[in-house]
Amino acid sequence: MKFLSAIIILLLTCAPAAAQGPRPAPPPAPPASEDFALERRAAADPGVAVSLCLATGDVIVRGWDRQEVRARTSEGGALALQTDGGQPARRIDVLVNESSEEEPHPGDCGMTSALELSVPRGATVNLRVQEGDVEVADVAELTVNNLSGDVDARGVSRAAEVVTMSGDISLAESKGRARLRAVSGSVEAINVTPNAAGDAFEASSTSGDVSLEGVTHTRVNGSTISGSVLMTGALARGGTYDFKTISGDVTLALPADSSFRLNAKVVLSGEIVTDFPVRATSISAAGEDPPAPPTPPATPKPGRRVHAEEPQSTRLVGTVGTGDAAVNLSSFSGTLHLKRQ
Amino acid sequence: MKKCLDEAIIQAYLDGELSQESAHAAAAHLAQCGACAAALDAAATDNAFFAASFAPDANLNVPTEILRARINAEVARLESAPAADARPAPGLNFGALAARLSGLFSFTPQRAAAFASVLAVVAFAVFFLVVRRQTTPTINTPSELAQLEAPSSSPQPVAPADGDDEVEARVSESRPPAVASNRPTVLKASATRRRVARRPAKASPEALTPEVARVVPGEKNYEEAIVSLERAVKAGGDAVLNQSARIEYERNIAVLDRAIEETRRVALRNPKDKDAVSFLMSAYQSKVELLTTVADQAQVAAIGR
Repeated sequence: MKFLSAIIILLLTCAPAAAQGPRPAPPPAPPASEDFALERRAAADPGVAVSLCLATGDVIVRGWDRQEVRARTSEGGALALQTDGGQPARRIDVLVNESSEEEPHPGDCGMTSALELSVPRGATVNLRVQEGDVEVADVAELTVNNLSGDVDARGVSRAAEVVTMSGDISLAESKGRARLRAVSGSVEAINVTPNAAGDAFEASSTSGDVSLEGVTHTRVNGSTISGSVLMTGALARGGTYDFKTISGDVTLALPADSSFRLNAKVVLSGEIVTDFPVRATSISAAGEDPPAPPTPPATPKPGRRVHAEEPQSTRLVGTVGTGDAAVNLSSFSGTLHLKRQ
Repeated sequence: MKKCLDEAIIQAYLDGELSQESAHAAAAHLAQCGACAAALDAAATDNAFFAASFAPDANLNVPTEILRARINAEVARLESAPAADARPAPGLNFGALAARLSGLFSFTPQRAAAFASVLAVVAFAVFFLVVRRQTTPTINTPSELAQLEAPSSSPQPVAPADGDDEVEARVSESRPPAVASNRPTVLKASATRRRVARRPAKASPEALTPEVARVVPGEKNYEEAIVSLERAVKAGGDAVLNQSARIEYERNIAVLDRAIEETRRVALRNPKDKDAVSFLMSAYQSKVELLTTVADQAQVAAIGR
């Protein structure tokens, strides 16, 4: 009987764990040197520009403290580093070919299953991939044009410009200006800060979602056609935030003590929902310029619904707190939501 | 149920060939009839398509002008050459492109399935149109058109307000200062397009004349750019995108076309609505950017061939 009870207890203990399914696998360890079939090295300037075009294959780029570029592929074929002739090189093109009998030519987009690049941390990396995932860490500038595959970047210290057609974009723990554009994938940015006052942050997606957390640029722009836009975190004093969507929703989750000037508009249908007490200077209907600010300013009573006289667009212009930042939200047929954290 | 306008009358209206009286009657009808308004939009789009196809690309101002010019020139060269004589010209990488285009007419199982799907869609569309024509009465002559009754000036009944929960949008009286509250403030633009469409003021004849049918001057440039870029993408062939990417591409083109259609409909009704026009332009810009991305890829693929 005791044995039976022990089995039942064991089964009951294991059942929830089994029901949860397999746990996410831990991140793979960096591949060992023997995992690579080909390796090429070249002495490089700390600010070297490294370019690569791949028709197929995953790419991993890592910044390191050495003044050299190392390229490794996991399968045979041809691999070459074409330099500008300088010692150390200021420009390096990584050339790949799936056939070992044919030398890769400049401008070719080769194939490989996986390519790993190690570059100086001050490098500018330019990747063009037709099909494959891209993972980049600890470089100065990054430009990626990926047709089909995800792009995951972190530790970019100066600028990031990423375009994907069918894949997600993730940028984390990075600095400087950023321009992230996805077509069908989502865009996610976490803890991205500016280097200079003029650094702008721009994220857009056609049908995917845009999610920003801890983006502290003073110029932030997010837009979608049918996806939603979510921004979480504090507004920068003096910052300008423009978020626009056609049929998606825009949600700003802001600290309770946020201070900003609001210009929100919904053109066709949808709502403007605010948890913040907005001192409205105008609420106007479609096709009209905002009326002159009434005196004294009006405030919609919390919890009330306001219908536009002209049944098309609704606009709410007003101030929260002392108006330290400018927040411009617009949607054609979605909902604009200002949430208090 | 009011009779729908005949296609010939819609086209004549679009071309400005109707008499003033007939044009006014048609405009009044179009303001009330969603199906006819859609037909007018479709006819205007067709006109724009053909106009754009013959417009000189040099007037375009899009990021891939050089790319498109090159690809268009090559496509034109390819089309002008007889298929049997399609040999690669010296210095041009066009043999592979020609082979790829000619490959469209070889029926692999996948292509056969694709052609069958297209035929099925066309057959369904024809069936749908025939059934629709049989069920909707049609006006065939201008005299019938002239007998149309004037549009009703009374708007559709609006749902009664929610009492305490509804206030007028135009705030004209002072209110107490804002007080922090857990209850969110909700401003709602609740009207449907249908309700807006039935407002005579929004659908004046002027708003539907061919000249104003294009919401803003820049729209024509976008349309031309889109036609040209689509041609470049097609010229790239199937190899430009793998299957999953092509599915995503086509899905997003549909998303953008829907966005353009919706924003355009609203902007067309009220061209002075800067917000609606701005959204329309955004949708166009997004489509141009998507096509540019794929057209660039077509160029890369062409280099590789």
